[in-house]
Amino acid sequence: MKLDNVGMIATETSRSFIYLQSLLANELIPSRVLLLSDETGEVTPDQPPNSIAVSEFLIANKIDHDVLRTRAINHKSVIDYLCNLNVPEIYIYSGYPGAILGKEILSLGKKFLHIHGGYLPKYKGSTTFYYSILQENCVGYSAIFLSEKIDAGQILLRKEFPIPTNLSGFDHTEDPKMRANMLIEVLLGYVETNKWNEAVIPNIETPYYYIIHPVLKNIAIASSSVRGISP
Amino acid sequence: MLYKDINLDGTLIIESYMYAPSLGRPFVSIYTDFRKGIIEKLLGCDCEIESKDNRQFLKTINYLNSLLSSESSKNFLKQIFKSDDNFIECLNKESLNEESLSEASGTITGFTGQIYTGDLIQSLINLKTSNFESAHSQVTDLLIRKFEVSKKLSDYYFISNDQGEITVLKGSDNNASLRVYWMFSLLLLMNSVGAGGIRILSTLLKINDSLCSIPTVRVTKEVSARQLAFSLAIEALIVNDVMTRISVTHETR
Repeated sequence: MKLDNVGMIATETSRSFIYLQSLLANELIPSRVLLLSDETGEVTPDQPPNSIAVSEFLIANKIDHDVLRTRAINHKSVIDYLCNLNVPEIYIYSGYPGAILGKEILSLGKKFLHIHGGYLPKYKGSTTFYYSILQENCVGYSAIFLSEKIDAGQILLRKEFPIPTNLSGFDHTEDPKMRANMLIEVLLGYVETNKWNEAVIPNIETPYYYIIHPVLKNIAIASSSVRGISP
Repeated sequence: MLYKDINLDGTLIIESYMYAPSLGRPFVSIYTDFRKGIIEKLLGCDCEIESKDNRQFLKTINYLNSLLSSESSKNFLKQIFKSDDNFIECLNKESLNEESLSEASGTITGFTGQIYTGDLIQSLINLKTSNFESAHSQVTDLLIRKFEVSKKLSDYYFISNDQGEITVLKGSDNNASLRVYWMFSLLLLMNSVGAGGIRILSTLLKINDSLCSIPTVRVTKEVSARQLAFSLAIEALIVNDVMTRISVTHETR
């Protein structure tokens, strides 16, 4: 089924690709996809080598989409594009890593549904997945509507999981899959009830996590083979 | 690859953090070998200066005493300092008197205005070692944020203080001296120990990457080579401690 009021902002990344695959597999088709892609067409570090381009996937599966030649979510062309569309009002957000939505885009009257790789509000910031492995021996994900304050928007769903056994290549495979599973659960809930199930979770002040140093990330990866749980 | 082609400045390393390879234990071995190489270089250089920061350094060592005094830690450090284990012995003999240890600074809690980053960090080390935890950790966190967002430390910052709510505002455009980076690494060392310190350990590793990426001849004009070597060894010890805590062993080679 086509999600009338739900679109998607996609990028040439593993995450966008797996999101789209999962949405299609669950017959949840965004009414419109906006693909942000630079002009080089080269495989970026955000994509696994030999990956299929998201643009090709959209064409092959006849999903309505537009392409803007920028990687920047806050670029004027993106703002103008969203301004000119009354619907959809909700966008599944799958931007390039490290991008933060600015004031202007957040004040357009649209909502951006993001799956954060950390259990909120405890784990705000970047690469929190790895921090929670090292600190708590588990991982968490949260579905939120993005807000001006980073990772402090309305929480729709949050879950904790045991550490997967193998974390090598995790960024390109397991992580997008786990996020996609959560995204599907949120969307199925929306389709069933026609409303967003906003969880009542107080937004407490917690420390912000910055991109984890690669040594610690690799210790977390090594620990998965020792402490991880087979899926 | 990270730790392979870095000898110019810290920027290159920081840019590559996002896309560093996921290798697990082999990556940790690359890191350990890289740090050991730098430590050897530092201990081998004949450019030792008289440290201006002896007191801050010894305070850090004293603060970390319980970590450093365990048998496993001593063995770990002996492996690193195999060519210079006298250094550890010498260090054990150096200690601060009680007056120096209890010396605290009120500059942060009641201060508003411009402050030289070196002075600010010195005050934070004093507060940390004097157990003024809350004032200390709030400002330390703000400095971490400044570094993580701008990828550098400015040579001074503006501090505003609104009824105890401290904010570290934009600093100057000039980069702080290497000596200030080194002092910041001492401050972060004290905050990196234990399970709650991982977030800070991550920033410490980045700060020390920056220091390690600069030619030894240049760093040692501002920082004592032996003290820097020892603080890098403690960083490696804390990383080792994290590995032990979560049952990850070093790669067998």
